[in-house]
Amino acid sequence: MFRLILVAALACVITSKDVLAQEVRITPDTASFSVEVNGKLITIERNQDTNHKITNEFTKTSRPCPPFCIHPISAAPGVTTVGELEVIDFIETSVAKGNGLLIDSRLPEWFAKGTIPGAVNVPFATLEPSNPYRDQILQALGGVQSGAGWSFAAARDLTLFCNGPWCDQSPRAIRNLVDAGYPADKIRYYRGGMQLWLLLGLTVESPNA
Amino acid sequence: MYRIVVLIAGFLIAVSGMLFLQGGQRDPADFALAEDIVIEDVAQMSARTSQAPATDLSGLTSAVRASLSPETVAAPEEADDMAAMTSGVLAGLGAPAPAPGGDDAMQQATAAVLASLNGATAPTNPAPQSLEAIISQSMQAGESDAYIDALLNEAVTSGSVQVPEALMTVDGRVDTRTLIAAIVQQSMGSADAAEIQAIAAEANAGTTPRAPAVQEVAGERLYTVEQGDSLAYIALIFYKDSGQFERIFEANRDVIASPDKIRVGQQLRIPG
Repeated sequence: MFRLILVAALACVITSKDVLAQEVRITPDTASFSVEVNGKLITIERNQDTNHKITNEFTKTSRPCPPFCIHPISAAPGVTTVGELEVIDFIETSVAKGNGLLIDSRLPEWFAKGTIPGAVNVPFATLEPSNPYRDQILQALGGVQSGAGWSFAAARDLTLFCNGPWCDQSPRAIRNLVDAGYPADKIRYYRGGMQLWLLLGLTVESPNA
Repeated sequence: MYRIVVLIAGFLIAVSGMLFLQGGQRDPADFALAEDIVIEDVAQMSARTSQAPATDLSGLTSAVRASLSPETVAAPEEADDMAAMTSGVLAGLGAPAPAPGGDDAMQQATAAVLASLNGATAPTNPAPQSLEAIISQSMQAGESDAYIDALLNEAVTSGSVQVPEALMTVDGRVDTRTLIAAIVQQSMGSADAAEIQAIAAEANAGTTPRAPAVQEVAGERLYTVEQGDSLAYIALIFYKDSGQFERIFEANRDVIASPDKIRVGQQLRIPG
């Protein structure tokens, strides 16, 4: 008899645990994350609909390669590859304080459709050496032209991302930055990109909305 | 004893009630579906590996097409972005960027980046303020003439641009076809009347080139104004130069108060 009661009680405990777990948190300790970036409050949380599935462009499995090839975990020597929690942490510790930039390397149309909150758009093409105006961007990132070369001592920390592990745009931008002399230890690569961000139900914002 | 049984039954009812409420999450069909997908994926993957990878040019081209989302391809308004995007993708494939005026696109892109890096909102397509800017930007962007026409007329209606009176048609609209024809003519150098007329007609989608309705009366050429005409258009037809509308205006001062005040059916003297 006592055993029966125990089983029933246990069943109750298990069920109630499920009820509590309905909240989709980012980590066990964090349900959502809010910070002010450039005078605008951004909030990152996860979609609370436990039956939600992605239905858009990002459900495709078989984009032709080339050009949509699977990328190695490292974008360039010395560049750290990061995941979602590190991106969120970067927004809090660097972007919000004005020391760092979260860079969406995709083209403006993609950026406009939705990006990670707090990101700015620097299309990869604008960082190509062939862009005659690239120096202006490097300056805006904090580089200082000294003689024929550049000093990036005061340059901002960057985290770059694009559409995901099959997207060449942010690795390409990173290679061009490193080639231009940008210190690799100031650059981070979020390889998961929009693909994994969306897959995890994390907040996406339309920058001009 | 009886009390304990009731207690247990109560527990069980509560538990099954909660399970029922949670039903959606525990749907075994989900798991079955997931298994099916895995099996399908494996089958697909083994099928794929036997195919030769597409390395030919058409394969690349279709890859590039695939990378451009369908709505972007469809929208003519985004033509200049398309050029930028295409050159971007081509550059990504190691091909030289094809864009004439690619520097313009790059300059715009850079300006947008700088604006966003400086914390301001990127000026997406700032509204051009002059007639020339509207035309040249639209033409560079490969907009359709109908689109430019709509854009121009909207700008004129809202009073944000001024259009020379000679360019107003008898219907009170901007004579976009003549404006475009004049620009095309300039870029082509000289062209004969038939060509100019063809250009003008083409610019005015839907109409075919027509011979000017001219009568010779007592050694004077008389032209009958038709629907859609402007003084600039008539000058373009007769003198191959829309700028010479003044000659027609001066010769018809007695019947025209100002260059935009011509009427359908009016007969205008065309000085030789």
